[in-house]
Amino acid sequence: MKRKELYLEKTDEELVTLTLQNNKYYLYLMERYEKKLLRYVMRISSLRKEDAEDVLQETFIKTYKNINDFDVSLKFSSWIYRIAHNETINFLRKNRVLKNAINNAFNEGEVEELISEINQEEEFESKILKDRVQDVLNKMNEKYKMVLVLKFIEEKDYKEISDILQKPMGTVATLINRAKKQFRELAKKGGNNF
Amino acid sequence: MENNISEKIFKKIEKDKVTPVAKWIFFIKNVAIWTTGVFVIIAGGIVTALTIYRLTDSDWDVYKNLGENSIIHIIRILPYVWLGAVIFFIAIAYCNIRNTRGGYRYATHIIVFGSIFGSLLLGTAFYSLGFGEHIDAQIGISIPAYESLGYNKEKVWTNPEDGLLSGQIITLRNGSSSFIIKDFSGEIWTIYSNPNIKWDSFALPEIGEQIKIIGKQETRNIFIANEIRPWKGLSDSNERKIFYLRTNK
Repeated sequence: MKRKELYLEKTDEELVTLTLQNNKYYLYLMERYEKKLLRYVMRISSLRKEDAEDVLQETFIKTYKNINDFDVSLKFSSWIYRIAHNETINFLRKNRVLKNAINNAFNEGEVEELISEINQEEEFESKILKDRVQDVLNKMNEKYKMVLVLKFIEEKDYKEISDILQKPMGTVATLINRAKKQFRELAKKGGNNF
Repeated sequence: MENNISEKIFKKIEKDKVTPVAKWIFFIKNVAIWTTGVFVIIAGGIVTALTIYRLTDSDWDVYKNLGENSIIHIIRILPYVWLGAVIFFIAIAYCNIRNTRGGYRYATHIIVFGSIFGSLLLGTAFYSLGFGEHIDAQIGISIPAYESLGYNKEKVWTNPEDGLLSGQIITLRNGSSSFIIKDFSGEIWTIYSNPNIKWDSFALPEIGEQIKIIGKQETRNIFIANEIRPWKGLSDSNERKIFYLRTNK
């Protein structure tokens, strides 16, 4: 336990260096990102938890295999999120999974944050808000949904989103604006007054 | 329990003996991408030099002799194959840059305009060194069908009834006011200079010189020349003397 606490203070990049010397340190990296990435995969894909765990497994294995290719000019979190993102897309393409499921990937605070960023006028009840927001998100174009989740739920900045999606920052800004617009339009259509 | 997934995955990594891909493999991959990039840039520069050469070697002003509209003439003689090749190499350069580590950070228009600018810069440099003409000639020798791609210069300049003739000087008479040429179909022509003859500065009245002539067909195999140009657009003038033939007006 004490040894594990020692590694809590290490940065991701330090843990990567240690992993290259001894693979047991990779376990600490995985523990650090397990919950975050699982939630992220579920949020952008609406997969059930079991399927999301399969994607997570593929993500961690791929990260480990490519650890010598980690670009030190990037944040490790951006790099592993990028791999998780790509593995989720690959899984969705291969499996044609029903994307309209409500999988409780969002918590109330995050949903409120998303709504306030898109439309600051209305007050809302948070209890049923989660399901309604996820319903709107599920109807969105994939690329807009993903960028909204990254910006307002995962709270990534423009540079991080650029590194995760491998798109220029200008393109990221445009995608976010269009995503907000589409969210508002779909919400209105569905009678969801946020 | 809390770390169930991570521990499960870690056990799988150990059980399946998953190992990181060796660093040298990524190094080779990066070297391959950058080497391809360098090759594409050089190839793009060469193709651009060829395109510039073809553009400068085309006869933009003879549409009147052919009874053509200027726009139709331009559309007919544009070097489409070479322009297509330039676009092809710019597209390859774009894909190559996108595949580099940081390539995604640049907006599409920056990469495209950067590639176009780079091709033009290198292409102009190659062209000014004479690579465009030299490579064009070498390809023409190696691939006989090459000359038939694009503007058929020989066909256009073997139109004596339209006032366009070309060939190689085989005999000079009376200085250079009269000479005999053999056109590219093998016909022999006697050329007489018009008193206001204009010799292009890069065309020389020498035996063996290949020339283009604008003028008027007098009779069968006799042609009156008003203007004489070198067969190739702008020749290498470093070793040649500039020669003007002036006549009394």
